[in-house]
Amino acid sequence: MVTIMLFLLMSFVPGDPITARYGMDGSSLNAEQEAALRKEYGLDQPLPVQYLSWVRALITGDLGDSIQQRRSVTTILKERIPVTLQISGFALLLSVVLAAPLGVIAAVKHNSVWDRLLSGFALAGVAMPAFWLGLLLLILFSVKLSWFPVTGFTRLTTDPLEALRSSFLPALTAALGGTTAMILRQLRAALIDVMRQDYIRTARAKGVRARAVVVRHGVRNAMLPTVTVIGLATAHLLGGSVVIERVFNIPGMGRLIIDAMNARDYPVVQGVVLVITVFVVAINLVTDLTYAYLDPRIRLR
Amino acid sequence: MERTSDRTSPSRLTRRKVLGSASVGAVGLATAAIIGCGDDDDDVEPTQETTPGQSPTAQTPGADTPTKGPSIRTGGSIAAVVSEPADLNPHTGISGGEHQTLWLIHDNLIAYDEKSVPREDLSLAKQWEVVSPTEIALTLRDGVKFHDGTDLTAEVVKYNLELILDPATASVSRGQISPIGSIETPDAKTVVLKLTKPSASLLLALGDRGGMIVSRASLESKGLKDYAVAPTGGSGAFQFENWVRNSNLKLKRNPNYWRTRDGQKLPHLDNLELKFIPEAAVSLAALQASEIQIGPVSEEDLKIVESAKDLSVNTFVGASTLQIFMNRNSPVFKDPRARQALSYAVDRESMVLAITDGRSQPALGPLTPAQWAFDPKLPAPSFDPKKAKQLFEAAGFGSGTTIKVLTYAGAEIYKRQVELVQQSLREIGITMDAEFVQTGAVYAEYKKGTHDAAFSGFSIRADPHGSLGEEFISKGGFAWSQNPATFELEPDVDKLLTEANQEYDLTKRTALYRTAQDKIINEYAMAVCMYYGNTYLGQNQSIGATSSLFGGEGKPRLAEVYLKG
Repeated sequence: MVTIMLFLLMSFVPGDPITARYGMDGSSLNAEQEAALRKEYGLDQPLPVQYLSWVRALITGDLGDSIQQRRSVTTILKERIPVTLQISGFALLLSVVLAAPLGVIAAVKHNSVWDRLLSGFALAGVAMPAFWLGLLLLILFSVKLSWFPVTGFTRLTTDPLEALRSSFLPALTAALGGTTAMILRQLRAALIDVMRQDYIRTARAKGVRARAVVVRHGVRNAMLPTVTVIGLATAHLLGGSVVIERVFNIPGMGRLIIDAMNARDYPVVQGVVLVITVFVVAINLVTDLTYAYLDPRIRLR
Repeated sequence: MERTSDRTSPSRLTRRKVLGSASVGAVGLATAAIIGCGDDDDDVEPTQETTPGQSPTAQTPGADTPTKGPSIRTGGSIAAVVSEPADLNPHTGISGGEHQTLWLIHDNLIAYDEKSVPREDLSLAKQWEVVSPTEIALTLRDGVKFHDGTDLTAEVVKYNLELILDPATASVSRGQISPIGSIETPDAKTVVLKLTKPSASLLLALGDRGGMIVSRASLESKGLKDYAVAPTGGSGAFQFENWVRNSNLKLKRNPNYWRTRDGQKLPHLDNLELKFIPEAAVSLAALQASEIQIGPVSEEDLKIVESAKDLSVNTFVGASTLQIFMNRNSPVFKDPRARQALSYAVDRESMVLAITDGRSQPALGPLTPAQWAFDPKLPAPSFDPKKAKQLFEAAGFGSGTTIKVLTYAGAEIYKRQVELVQQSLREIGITMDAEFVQTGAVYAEYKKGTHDAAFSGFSIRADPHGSLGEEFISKGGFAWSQNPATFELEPDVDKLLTEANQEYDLTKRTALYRTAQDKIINEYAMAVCMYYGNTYLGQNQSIGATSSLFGGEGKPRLAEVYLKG
């Protein structure tokens, strides 16, 4: 369904990959060459035929060749996926690390100044454009304080410490620009709800220490809806990589898809969208499996 | 803070000065002059004799700073921001943004300097002679090795030129060097170009992508496609090391580079990292954080860079002409009076102030002050709303007429140009609806012929034929103002521009360009030339360069950058 939608949408976008690759008016090509190229990339075929050819090749693991880069889309994706996963993974980790304690504080100190401050922080995170936040962080931490590089990306496998340093600001931007707030707000709401339950009152009546009540009985039960939001946040991070990777000049899937869109490089756009779709489906699956782990009742059912 | 101009201020340019600087650029081929007259010594000082009457160039902090000994540190690394190439094979690449990278890795058969003057000390041909209007003989430099270790020979040059001329290569340079009918190689160091027709622009065209010579061995072993991602067969100052798309490209010193400057071997640097940063604000942050030492600066950020203690700005005046191209098949602009009316409706002075803070100049014609054929006395339409209204009415388009235009989405300058023209037209009762389309799709959309006009810039070429020929000859490569139905422009303009390109006498050639421009902007009003765009390069004070940071076409040239000692 996603791929059909994608093909349809791409057909509505003005522009043409051959024109984008070989010149504004194809001046470097004569009519026969242009026709040959269109044939080579299947662009001379009606849209349904193009789609079926793409699906047929996909079944054999062939995503086609990039018209712009003239390389296999699979090769390009192999280079880009780890980059986006590194940033998104780090951002998710930061989001959870920030949101978990803050969400608990906001819930426990419900209706206090702390709660209002943290709710304000969450609202600001959701409202603030990631692009703007990224620039602010760059100016503060890279230009003024020189703590982090403005650009550049190091893979975890190359140099773990440098990788953390180069990924920190992009990950922080992605985390603060939405996902931390999403998790914090959900955890707060769920925990407030749980803390009103009879079993919490019972635990307190039995003399269980306040911290243990919150951590062992409250947070554990508030985790179920929170895990759902963490799943959504991961998908949000993958989509948000388009902005984050552009601001921080990171060669991941986000930058790839923007460049491919500009160049009307249909095979690459289709490849990236397909990979993101597969990831989102996989995340949903992992989320469902996590439910079962967290709540034995679901497992039994 | 330092703000200097790499170009002599346009107001100080006289016709004589411009022509003087072009005396070699335009090539006085009628006298079969020997243009490159260097000897075998590779360490040729750039001489002023080749550019009689040339105006002194204002000093650029890095670009033109003299380079005497101790201030130049040999070695070290710097990083610069440039446009990201799509293809690093000079014969198959297409984007104008690729040149700045290609020029670091490859050398040209005939190279030109910041004033578009062909210079033997920069060229792979140590000497060239125009034997007749249809024959050019080139003598190749000795001892030039490509990065793969093979030698530069006449055979390699022939192979490269024939590759470009072969339609199967689909090279964008084919048109530029198409006057070459055959190539002879009487010996290993001599190349004779036999032209099918005289072409005064050919020498400077060889300073563009079409004259970049690549090792035959590398091209054959890798193939055109693989060479495009790993160009290891250039002879330029830097060797290709690694390219991470959307991130950076690393270059290292070519230890066998043939060029020297003031007795010092080039390049000065050991390593040069090119970074590809699409966001101007991020590029500026990298410059401020000294993470890069050179990078483009947008018009909006100029004041920030100028006020920074350790940064300076290099300016290239007249790198492009911002224009409105008219669809001469549209109901409104079929009539030349309506096209002239639009030209009179544009307030160029206000546009320069509003968009460029007065840093640019209102345009007279398509050629800019950076080009030798620029004519400061060209009669150009100026803002006259009354005349605009009269002309529109005479063409049958009074109050209530709507014009539909097209331009680039996401580019602030085009948005502001459109707003200013909309405002002027509104005052005479004409409505202008603008459609903003993604960059890659604008031309394709325009070619459909459903819009009346398009706002676009046109970057200069080293030779005026590169600009005027491509823009205003029927079926030219970038002829935006042609009739989308017939692809025709004006036969007499076609004839004038063709004649100019076949005319080797500089004075006659200049006169032909003047007449052609007059017809283009006044009689036929093929395009409204609004103002000349500048290029700005921000530079950290820790670096300098032993040549201009710009080439004659206004693109960055970083081969001679050094770290200050």
